[in-house]
Amino acid sequence: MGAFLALGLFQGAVYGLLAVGIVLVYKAKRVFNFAQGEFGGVAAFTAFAIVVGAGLPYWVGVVGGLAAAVAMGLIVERVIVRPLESSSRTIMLVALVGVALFTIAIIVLLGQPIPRVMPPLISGGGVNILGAGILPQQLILMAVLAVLAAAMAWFFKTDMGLAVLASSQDTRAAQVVGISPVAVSRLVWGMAALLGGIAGLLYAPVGIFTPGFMTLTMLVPAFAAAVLGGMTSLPGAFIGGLAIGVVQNLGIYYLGQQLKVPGAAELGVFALLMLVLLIRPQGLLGKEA
Amino acid sequence: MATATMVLTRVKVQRRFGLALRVTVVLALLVLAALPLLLGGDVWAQRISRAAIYAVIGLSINTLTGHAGQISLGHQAFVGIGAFAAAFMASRLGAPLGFGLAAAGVAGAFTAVVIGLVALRVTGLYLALVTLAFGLTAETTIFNWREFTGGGAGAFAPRPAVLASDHAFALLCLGVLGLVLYLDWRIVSTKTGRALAAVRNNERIASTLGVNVTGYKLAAFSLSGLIAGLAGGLFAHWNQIVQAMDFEFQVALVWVLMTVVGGLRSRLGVILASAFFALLPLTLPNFLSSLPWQPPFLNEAVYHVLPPFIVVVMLLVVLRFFPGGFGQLLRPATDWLAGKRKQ
Amino acid sequence: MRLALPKRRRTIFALLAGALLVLPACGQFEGVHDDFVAQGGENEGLGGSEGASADDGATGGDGTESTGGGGDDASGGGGGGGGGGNDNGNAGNGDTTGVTADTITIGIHAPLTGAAPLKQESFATGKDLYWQYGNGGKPVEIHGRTVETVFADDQYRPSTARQVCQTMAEEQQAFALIGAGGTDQIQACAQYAASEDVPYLSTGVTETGMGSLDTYFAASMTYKQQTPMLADYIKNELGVTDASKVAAVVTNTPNFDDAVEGFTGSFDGVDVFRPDKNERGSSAAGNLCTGTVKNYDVVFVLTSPTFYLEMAAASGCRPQFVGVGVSMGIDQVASTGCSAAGSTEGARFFNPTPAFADAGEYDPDFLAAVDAAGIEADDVTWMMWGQSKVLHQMLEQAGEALDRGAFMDAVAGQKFSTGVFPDLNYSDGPFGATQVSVLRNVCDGGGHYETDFAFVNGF
Repeated sequence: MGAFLALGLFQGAVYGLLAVGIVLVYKAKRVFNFAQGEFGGVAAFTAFAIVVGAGLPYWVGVVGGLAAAVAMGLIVERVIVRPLESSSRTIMLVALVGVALFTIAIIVLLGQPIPRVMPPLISGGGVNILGAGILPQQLILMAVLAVLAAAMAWFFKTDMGLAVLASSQDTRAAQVVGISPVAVSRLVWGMAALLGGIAGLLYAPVGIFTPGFMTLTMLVPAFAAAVLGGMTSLPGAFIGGLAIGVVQNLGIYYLGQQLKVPGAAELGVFALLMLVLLIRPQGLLGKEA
Repeated sequence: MATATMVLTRVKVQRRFGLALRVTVVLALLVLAALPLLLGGDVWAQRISRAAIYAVIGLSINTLTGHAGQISLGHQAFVGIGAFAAAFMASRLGAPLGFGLAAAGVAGAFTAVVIGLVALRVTGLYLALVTLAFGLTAETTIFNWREFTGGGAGAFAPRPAVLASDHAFALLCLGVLGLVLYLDWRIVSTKTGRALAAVRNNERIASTLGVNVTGYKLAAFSLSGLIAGLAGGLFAHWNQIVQAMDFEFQVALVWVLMTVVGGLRSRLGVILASAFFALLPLTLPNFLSSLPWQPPFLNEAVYHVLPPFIVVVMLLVVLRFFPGGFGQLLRPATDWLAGKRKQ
Repeated sequence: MRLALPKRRRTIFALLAGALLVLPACGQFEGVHDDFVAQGGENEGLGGSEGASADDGATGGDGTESTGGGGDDASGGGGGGGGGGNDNGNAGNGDTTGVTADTITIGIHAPLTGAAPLKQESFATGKDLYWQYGNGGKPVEIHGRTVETVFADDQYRPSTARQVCQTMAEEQQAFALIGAGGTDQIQACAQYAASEDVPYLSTGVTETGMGSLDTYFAASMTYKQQTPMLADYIKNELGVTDASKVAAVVTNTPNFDDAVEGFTGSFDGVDVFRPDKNERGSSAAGNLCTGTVKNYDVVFVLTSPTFYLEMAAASGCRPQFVGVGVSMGIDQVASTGCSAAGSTEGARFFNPTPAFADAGEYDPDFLAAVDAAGIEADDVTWMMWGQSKVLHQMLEQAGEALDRGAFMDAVAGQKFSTGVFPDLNYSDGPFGATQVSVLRNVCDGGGHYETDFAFVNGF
C-alpha cells in the first residue's frame, strides 16, 4: 500500500511535467497539445543515439536531446501551428495528433520498433521509500520537478512571462503595447518542447522505452492532470500530475490486486476525469495564474 | 426564328447528351469499383468488406466532427463495444446476426450518451480528452473482462450460413454503408443539419437563435456512437473473431485522420479516404516487394512500416495545402457529375 | 433534456433498425448455433474455437473441402484430437495451391510492428536463408522443386493475422503457412488455416482451441506440456522446493490458462499473478520484492518481452527468472535486459532450439549457409532456419505428387528429426514434441543466451 503510494508520487511527477507543457500551450493558444509527449520521445531517442549509439558522454546526450526537442517544437510552431492559426480548433487538434503520429512513424522508420534501455544518470539499486524500490533516477526527477516549478512561478512574474499572459488574454491588445504575437508563440512552443524533452529524458531511463512510449502511456494521464488543474493553472497541473499518479497506483492496488478488475490504472484516470468534469469543470485550481 | 429554334434544340441536345454522358461515367465508375468484388476472389471480397466497414466508421466520425464540430479520440471504444456486443449475441446467445448488429448499434449509442452527458456540458473540446481516456479504459477494462469478451483469447462471431461466403458478407457491408450514407444525406438536408451547422460555426450565436446546443451535440455524438457500434458489429463478423488488441488507441487516431483526409462533410471524400486507409496496409507491402526494381537501401521488411508514415504525411499535406481533403480535390469532378454549373 | 429528433429521422431510424433485424434473420440456418453450443466446451473464450471451421464445414462449397476430413472431423468432436484425425486415408485432395512444376510457395507471418515486434532485418534475411542456402550453400530442392517465401506483418494483432494469412494462402498462393511468434496471432491464423484446409506450422504455444484443428502442427512443445517440466526443473535443478518461494507472473489471457494449470498442477501452492496485457511491467515489479515476506527466489514469467524487461529492470531484488514462452528474438531481449543493470542475468528459458551462440555445434550447415549468404545472423535467423528445416522434412515426406491433402496425410502420425528443433512425433495429434532446450541468459560480452541443456525430455 505504502509502496503504491510512493510509486504513484514518482510516476505522477512525470505526468505533472508533461501537464505543465500542455497547460502552457493551452493558456497561450487554447489548443490541446497532443504532440507534447513526443517532444519527450524525440529527446529520449536523440539522447539514446548519442550516448549508446555514438558512445559520447552523457551530458552531450542530454544537451543534444533537449536541443532536438526544442528544434522540433519550433518547427511544429512554424510549419503546422502558425499556418493553421485561422482554422478551427478541431483541425488544429487533428494536426497535432498528426504531428505526434508523424514523429512516431519517423522514429520507427529510422530505428527499429524494438524496446531500448537508456542508461540512467546515476546507476545503482533502488532506495526503499515506504516499501517501494525508488531508483536514483526517480529522485532526480522529483528534484528537477521542484526546481522547474519554482522557475516557472518566477518566469510568470518577469516581463517576458507577463507578455505571454497578456498575449494569451488578448492578442491584439498585447500587440498594440508592443508584444509580438509571433515571438510569444515561438517562446511558448519552445518552452513546452523543452519541458517535454526534460520529461522524456528523465523518464526513459526508469524502464524500457519503445517508439511512442511517451504518447502511448504518459499523455492521457498528463492531460487528465492538466484538466484537474483546470487547464490554465501551472501549479494545478503539477499537483494534478501527482494526484493522477497516486490515483492510478491506488487503483492498481485496490481495484486491480484486491478486486481483480482489469485495467485499474486506466479506469482510475478515466473516473477521475469524469468526476472533475461533472463536479468542478474549472478544475481544482482553475483560474488564470 | 428558325435560328433561335435551332440554337434551343442544340442546347437541349447538348443537355441531354451531357446528362447521358454523366450517367454513363457514373455507371462506368461504379462498375470499375465493383470489379475487384466480381473478379478478386475471397481475398478481395474481404478487403471490400473492410473498406466498407472503415467507410462506415469514417461517416460516423464525420457525423460528429464534420457536422457537430466535436472530436472523439476514442472512437475505437465504440466500435469495439459494438463488436463485442455482436460477438456476445452471436456466440453466447446464438441470436441471429440482425439482432447482434442492432445490439451493437444500441450499445455504441448508449455508451456515447453516457460519455456525452458529462463531456459535452463543458464548452471546448473536452470530449476529445474524455473519449481519449475512455478509449484506454475500454481497451484495458471492458475488453479484458473475460465473461463479456473472452479476455485475451477473444470472442468468436460466426456468420450465419447465408452470409458465410465472403462475397455475401461484402454485400451486407456495402448495404449497411448505403444505409448510413442515406442517413448522413438526410441529416444534412433537414432542420437538424442546419442546426448542427449553426452549432459548429458558433455555439453562442446558435444558442441565442434558440438552438439547444448541448442537445444537438449530444444527438450527433450518440448517432455517431450508434453508427460506430454498427461498424463494430460488422467488424466482428468480418473477421469472425474479435480481441481487445484490435481496438488499440492508435486505431482511433488513424480513423480521425482518415476522415479529415477524406474531407469533413464530403461523403464521397470520406468513403474514398476510408477505403484507401483500410486497404493501404494490406496491399502496399506486397505491391512494393513485387516491383521489379527494389531500392538498395530498403529491405522488404521496411515496406511494412511504411503505411502509417504515408498516412500521416497525407494528413499534414492535406491540412496545409487543401484543407477540404479528397472532397475538395474531387469537387470539380463531382460538380460536373451532379450537373452543377459554374456561375 | 429534449433531443430534437424530427419525425422524418425517427422514421429513418425505424426503417434502418427494421431492415437490419429482418434481413439477416432470414438467413439464420437451423442448427448452426446448435453446432456451436455442442462444441463450446473446449475453449474458454466465447463460443468455441471450432466455430469458424464448423461453419465452413456445414456450408462447404469452396471446392477445397473434398478431403472428406475437414469439416466432419472438426464437428465430430475431434476423436483422437487433430493431427491424428487427419489419418483417414485421403491421399491427395487435388488442392495444389502454391505448387508448380518447380516451386513451392510458403507464407510466413510475424509481428514486425505493434506491441512486440521482431527485428525487421533479421526476419527479412532469415526467412529465405534455409531455402536458398540450406543445401550445402545451394538452394534446397524438394522432389525437384525449390521453395519461395512470402511474408506478412501481423502487427501483433490477431485480426490482422487472420487477414494476412488469408491473403498469403489465397492471393499469394502459399501452399502452407508458418507462424513465427505471438500466441494469439498463431491461434487466429491456425483457425483460419483449418477452415480452409491450409497446412499450418508454428512453434508450440497454447493448446486452447488448437487441439482439434486438423491442419495444425506444433513444431515444439506447447506451454501446457512445458510447464510441468519447468516445475521439475525448478525443484531438481535450481533446488527450490518451497512453493512459497516461487511466483508465477502470467499475462491474463485465457490462452495462458493451460500453462498456469500445468505449472500449479505440478507445483502446488505457488503464488500466481495475472497482469493484464497492457499493464506496465514496472507496476508488477512491486509484487516480487516488496517487504521481507514476499521475496521470491524463482519467478516464472509468461508475458510479453517488454513486460518482462520492465519488471526485471524495476524490481529492486534480483530473483531467478525462468520461463517457457519467449519464442523469438530472445537474444534481443537478453541484450536489452542486460543493459538495464544486468537485470535479467542468469535467467533460464526453455526454448525449442539450443542457443544461437552454440548453433555451429548442433548444425554446422547453418553457419556455412550464413557465410554463403553473407548476412548477419542472429537467433531469429536460427529459429527460422530450424522451423524451415522441419517443414522441409514434412514436404519431403509428402512426396512428389504434392497437394495439401497429401501433405497433411503424410505428416499426421509421422516422426521427424532435425537436430535443430526437437524431435517430433505426430502419432497422438498435433502437439508432437517431447524435448526442450534450456538456455541461460549471459550478460558477459553483450547480453545473449547460452545452452545449459539441449533436447532433454525431463528433469
